[in-house]
Amino acid sequence: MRVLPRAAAVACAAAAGAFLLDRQRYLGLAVLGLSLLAAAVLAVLSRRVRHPSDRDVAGVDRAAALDGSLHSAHWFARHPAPPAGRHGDEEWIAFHVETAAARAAAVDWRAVYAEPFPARRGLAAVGLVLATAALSIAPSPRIAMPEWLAGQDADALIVVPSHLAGEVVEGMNALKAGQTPSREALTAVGRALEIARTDPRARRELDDLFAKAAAADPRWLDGAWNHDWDVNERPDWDEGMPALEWAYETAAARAALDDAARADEGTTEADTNGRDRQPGERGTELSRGSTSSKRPDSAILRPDARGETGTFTSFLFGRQQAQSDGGVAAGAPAAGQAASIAAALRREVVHARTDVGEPPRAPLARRPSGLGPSAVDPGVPPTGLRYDASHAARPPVVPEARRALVHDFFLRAADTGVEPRAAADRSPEGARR
Amino acid sequence: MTSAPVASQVDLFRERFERIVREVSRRIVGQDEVVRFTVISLLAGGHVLLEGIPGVGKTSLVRTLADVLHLRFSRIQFTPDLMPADIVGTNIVQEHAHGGTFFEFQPGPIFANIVLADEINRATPRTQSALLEAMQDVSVTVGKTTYALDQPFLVLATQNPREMEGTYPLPEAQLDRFFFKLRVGFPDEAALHEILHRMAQGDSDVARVMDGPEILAMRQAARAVPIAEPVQAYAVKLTLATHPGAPDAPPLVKRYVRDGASPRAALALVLGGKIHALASGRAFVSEDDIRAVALPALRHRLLLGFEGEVERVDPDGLIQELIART
Repeated sequence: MRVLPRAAAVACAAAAGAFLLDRQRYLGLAVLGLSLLAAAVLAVLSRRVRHPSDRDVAGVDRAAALDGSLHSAHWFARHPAPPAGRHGDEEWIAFHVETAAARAAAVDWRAVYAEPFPARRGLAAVGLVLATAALSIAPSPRIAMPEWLAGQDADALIVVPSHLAGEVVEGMNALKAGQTPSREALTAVGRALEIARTDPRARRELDDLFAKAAAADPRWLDGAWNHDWDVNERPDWDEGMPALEWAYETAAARAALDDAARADEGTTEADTNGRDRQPGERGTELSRGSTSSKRPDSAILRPDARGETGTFTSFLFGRQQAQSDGGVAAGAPAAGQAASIAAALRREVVHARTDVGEPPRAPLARRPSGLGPSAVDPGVPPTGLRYDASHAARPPVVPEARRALVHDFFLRAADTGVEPRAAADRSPEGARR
Repeated sequence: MTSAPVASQVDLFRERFERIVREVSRRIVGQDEVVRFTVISLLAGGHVLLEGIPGVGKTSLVRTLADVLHLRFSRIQFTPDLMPADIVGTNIVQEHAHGGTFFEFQPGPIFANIVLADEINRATPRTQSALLEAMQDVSVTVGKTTYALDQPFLVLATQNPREMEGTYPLPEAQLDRFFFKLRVGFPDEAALHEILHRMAQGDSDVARVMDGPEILAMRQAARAVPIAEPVQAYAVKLTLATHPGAPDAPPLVKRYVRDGASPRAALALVLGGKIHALASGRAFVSEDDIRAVALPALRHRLLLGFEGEVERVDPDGLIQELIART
């Protein structure tokens, strides 16, 4: 009972905090309920213990200055029938117990021990309980927050900037629908993801937005929405943020590829047909789901400007290099190859830095991943080969924090001959050694 | 209501106890604690070893006690040439009136109620041991005959802690038979003034306030005082802690003590505690009673080791350390 006012105070403080922040409104009541439950259990347990311990009685005896009479009499009271003469004459024991009881009864125990539950503390406890209940039931108080608190936490409470929110939701909806979002929406999603990488609150907020975006699109839910995702490639939206990140990167890559294709197509067709295609025409076709996009590898493979099916390697290194591999890009890829690439990329995203507009300064070799030999092995191009940089497209933006790590771990310059230890250990030669 | 006789016994005991102490204190000044513990030992049926420098009133205390209690008193001055027969008595040849001779036992000074063994450590161990049977069994054996001593029987031995040359330290077995060892200290300034005033007026007369049967009745009442198990356990724990090998022994005991107190020490603690409680008007023993008698009951039963003897360790300090830790 003595801790009840303190428990009520803690519950009231919790309720006040929840009241101000408009979070976990029933936290105070929960704390109060747990405290009452604990008090009830303790009360039951204390009733079960009928006899105080010898040490406790000795302590009470000392506190009341009873000269050991209570301590001694307590033992005789608990052992009413000792063997005759073992601890003293029975008459003497009875006299001792009687006098000790009379002496203990004469003690002013209020002077010895403070009142365990005074009325003042009882009233305070009742008041705190009522306040806890009121704070838990009352309407949201956020408008009543102090200005300094509201101003200080404005960015913390809404970490995704408001001017981005609409475009972020638009971008999410498009991504879930399997479409390439508008450039503005894609940029907004990318910026929001950048914020979320460093701010857990932003990540939660983005997660909530993402969940709401899924619920807000009935066409997706009833399956009527026309989308580009292949059955094998469609992300599991229930994963939340990882799925959003993957979808964003794929869409960004797709947008970059579209830009490159559009530019190439415009140049070629202007040369051959004497007319330019309408801007966005190609993207519109893709987004509607062309015949090629319905193939299993449609999300990765796009017809290049010459009407040939491209591969991821052509996206990375240019078509000539890919063709020089003699198989991968020479004709239509084997069924499922692109899907394997996509699956590998889901597990291990590789961002290769490419200097657009210039020939590669050094051939890049992709290492086997830690999960096994890579399905992509472009090999080393012949020395002196010049590349057509017009087909190169800028890859998705690599976060600064990951750039050095990815570059050092997965890529190396062939002419340096320096092989990082981790990469060397993972190489097939290293494995054989 | 059976408590009324007990209550009256408690009151009577306390009243008699205070009467003895008050009467003895009329002649012995500044030694209240020694007087109280001496009376406690008398009522417990134990013997007392009084240690103090000459002139502090050891012999006067014993003589006064005998006067107050109306008991037979004898004094034995222990010297190196004292023989056991000088203490217990001897058979001497007597002649019948009609002729012929026979042996007749002539009791020694031990046949008294209160025996003062003055400077007991000056006699040889052989003579000292003549007291062993009397102190333990309240009887003496001469030849093939055992003679019982009268009750109450109390030996009050004195020894001077300073003049150790030519003395024979008491054997451990005999030390253990003393219920209490009391240190008779030098009186303080006020007590010394009072002694001088009384000497100028001549010896104070003391009244005989009690006799042997009353003392025996008080002994019986003291043994009836109940002691609770936890309090008794405290006395046992205190006794065991004097042994250097005991797990509860403090480091000082382990370092300086060779042998701890015997079971007689536990008896002295409990019985002395009972009488101390009754003398305080209580019909039960508390741990405070045990602590009150711990020093006189234990100090002569702690046998110091070599290091303790060399460093002149005071057993009282060790016992106080024990009390503080137990």
